[in-house]
Amino acid sequence: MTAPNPAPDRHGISSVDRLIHEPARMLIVTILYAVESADFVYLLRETGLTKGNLSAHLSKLEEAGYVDIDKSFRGKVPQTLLRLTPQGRAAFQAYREKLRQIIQSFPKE
Amino acid sequence: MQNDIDTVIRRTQGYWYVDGLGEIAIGVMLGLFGLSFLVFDLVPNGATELVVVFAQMLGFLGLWWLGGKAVRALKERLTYPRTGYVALPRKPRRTNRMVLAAIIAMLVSALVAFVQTAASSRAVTPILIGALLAISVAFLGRRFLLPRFYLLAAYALLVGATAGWLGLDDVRQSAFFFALFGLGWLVGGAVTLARYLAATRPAGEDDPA
Repeated sequence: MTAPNPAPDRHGISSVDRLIHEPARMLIVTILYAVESADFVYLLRETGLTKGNLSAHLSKLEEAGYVDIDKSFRGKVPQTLLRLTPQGRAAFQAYREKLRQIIQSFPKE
Repeated sequence: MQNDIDTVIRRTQGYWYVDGLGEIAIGVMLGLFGLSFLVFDLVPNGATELVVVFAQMLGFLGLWWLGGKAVRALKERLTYPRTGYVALPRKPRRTNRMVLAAIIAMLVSALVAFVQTAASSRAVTPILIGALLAISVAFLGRRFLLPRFYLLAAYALLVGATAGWLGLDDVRQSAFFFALFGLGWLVGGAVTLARYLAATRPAGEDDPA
């Protein structure tokens, strides 16, 4: 017995980058895309996530090579600075383009 | 969703204006620049006037440099501990910006000279400058989603129109226009800063990701 053939993926929906597609991570990547770098406090405030949640999402993005995490001091205050890597930037641009194509393929009502 | 992404990007890029400190600095600079025109009343025409023009330019550049340093220092103390630090994307190279600024200044001067000649009226100049500044400020407001900049744009139009209507001489007209326009920036910035400080508290210690 063979499995039925899957429907053809004409619009590439299944090829959307799932790492970025998750809403919280999409917000993080969108913010970092707009800047050179941002610190943990800024992301915490703008995303509305808890510290633990934000840390978990950032770790996943770092593992994928999308985000650089740099821990340092700003004066005497510890600071965690985050920036998109060139790979992360390219992935976000590809994601935006893919979304645009998918939305354009919706039939007009 | 695309709109949401664009909104987040624009909001983030407009973070520099979140606390009103930049507007206060611009307001002080414009106000002092405006008041500096009154010095022309105290000096005789001729070579001394040229020295004053030169000093005015130098003073403005010095204020710009000092204002930038002061705003950055204040942001370190007030803004970054409350709502975080953001490094905005690097701007185009300084030389490119200076060339662009020079081209814009020449175009504006040519336009002002043309309209002045065509209209043969001193009243047109402040109205035109007010309109150009209003367009620039409104553009900033639209780009960074800052509705208060639309108010500032309307204010620039109002100040320009009033300066034209009063029919003052060149020196007083410039003093009136820039001092009042600067006051608008200053008040807008102060209100924004007060609201920002009331709405935010310094965050706890940074949590390493």
